[in-house]
Amino acid sequence: MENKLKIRSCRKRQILLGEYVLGTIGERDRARFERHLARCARCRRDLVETEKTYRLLGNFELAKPGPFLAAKVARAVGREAQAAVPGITGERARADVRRWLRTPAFATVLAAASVAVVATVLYIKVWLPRAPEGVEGPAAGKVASAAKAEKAAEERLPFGPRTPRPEAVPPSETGRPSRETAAAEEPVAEEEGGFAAEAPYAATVPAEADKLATLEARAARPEAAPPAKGRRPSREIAAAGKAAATPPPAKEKGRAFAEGAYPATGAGEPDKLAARAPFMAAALPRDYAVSRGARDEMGRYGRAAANDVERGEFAKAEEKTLVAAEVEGWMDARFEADVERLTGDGAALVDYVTPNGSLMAYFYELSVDEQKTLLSRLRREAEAESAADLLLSY
Amino acid sequence: MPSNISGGKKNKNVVSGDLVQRARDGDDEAFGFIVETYRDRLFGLAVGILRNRTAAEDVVQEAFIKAHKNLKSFRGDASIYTWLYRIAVNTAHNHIRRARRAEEVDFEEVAPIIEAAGPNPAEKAANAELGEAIDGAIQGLPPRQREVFILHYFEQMTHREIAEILGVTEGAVKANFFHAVQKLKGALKTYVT
Repeated sequence: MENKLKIRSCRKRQILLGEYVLGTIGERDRARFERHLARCARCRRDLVETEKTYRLLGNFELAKPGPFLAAKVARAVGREAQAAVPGITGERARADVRRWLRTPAFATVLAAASVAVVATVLYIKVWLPRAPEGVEGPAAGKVASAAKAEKAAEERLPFGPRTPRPEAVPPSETGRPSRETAAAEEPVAEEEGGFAAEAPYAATVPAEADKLATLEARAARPEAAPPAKGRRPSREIAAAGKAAATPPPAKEKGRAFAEGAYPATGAGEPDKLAARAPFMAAALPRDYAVSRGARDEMGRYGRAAANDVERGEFAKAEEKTLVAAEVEGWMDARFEADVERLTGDGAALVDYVTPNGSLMAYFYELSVDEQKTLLSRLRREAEAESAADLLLSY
Repeated sequence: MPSNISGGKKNKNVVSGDLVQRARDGDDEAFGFIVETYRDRLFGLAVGILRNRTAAEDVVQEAFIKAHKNLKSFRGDASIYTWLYRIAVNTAHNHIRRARRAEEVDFEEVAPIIEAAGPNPAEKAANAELGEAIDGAIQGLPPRQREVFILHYFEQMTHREIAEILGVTEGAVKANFFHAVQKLKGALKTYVT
């Protein structure tokens, strides 16, 4: 019994052994433990062993990170801060829209809109032709207002078919529109929410290098005509706007962080990227837009959609959400085309990288040689996980 | 009284309250300094928990993003390092949970938790075998004991701080540390002469 008690007492004291050896034990506990040591040979033995073990461990320290963690953290924090808007993120905005689309309120609004459209169409197509010809006065007014209503209803439809506008044809087919035409086509700023005030996307994919000069020139003219209301904003402008190596506006706190808080964080801005010559110098602004600008744009569309939802402008919100999805698809397509150009085997490799936007961004921050090496290693090792590791190891 | 025998004599609280306040007020340079101060240490802890360098880097990155986002809500009741460690530990635990759910991260690739200290390459090479043995012994500890051991031995945290970081009682920390030390002693018996 006495022996058992002694063992239990030792056990209780031994819990303090580690702290005692490290010197982190409290005064009161130390005094108690030293009193116990004086009369317990077992604990003294244990103390010697523990000290020796600690001496062994003393030659080692915890593993250190690779040299690029600093830059990665700076970039990641910078990006997050840049994308953050109090309370709302792009993803949340999309979720809000999706949630709203499932609510009875949406069904009611949709049903009401459908009834209104059907009624208007019936009025115009069925009732009006029956009206006697030569009717003047109030009846003539009805014809005019019905036509106007039809047009307005068509324009309000969020998902309905739209008559293709001649200027929406991709420039790859028609050639680049003149600056004047493009300026005339640019959408008018939506005052509320400041959505269109931010660099927007066009409905077409920038493809030719000769566009860049025009785009850069346009981006360098912040006083250019404001975008036209109701139209999807120009994607090229966003690309060029991002590409213009002007200092970030004060509100872009995140990027300022990435640039300023750390010395030499590596490529992160167009001018720094230019020094490392990713892909080809001429394509740099586009590449930058693909990697970071495009994702920023997606975030902006998402936030703008969330603002619209809050204001009850659900059709606008839905349209912006669709634009964000379109931009995402465009980024993937663009990336595939670039990899194809580098390796002749784009489709087989892109799946490893495209699911992860930040990986794509890293890819575009590599030099051409690094990109080629990476792609050949990806082909050899052909595993999504190792692709991520490889990419981040640069 | 025995001399202090520990893996690293680290000054935990090198970030002043003033600097933290500046970071809270949106001074990115101040936040950058906090990142510089704790980045490597959080990485060491994350590798200790995850035993995977890539995952550990992801966790550190995510932890600092969270810290930057929530800095305004940090009221200064706890030390900034305790707060950061808590975020890192929670992020690492979430990472493990997510990976287990998705069955996607290969935790078979076990990265070394420790490395030889000091600048002398010859000394480091001489310690290689011992290093492997110690690393194996630490890796072999149950997760909670490993976390407590790393925080107490390598990071010089007090039991109270560790309890706060891990969300357990001080008694649990003491018991976990005791068991960790006992196991390490057993595993390294052949090297202790």
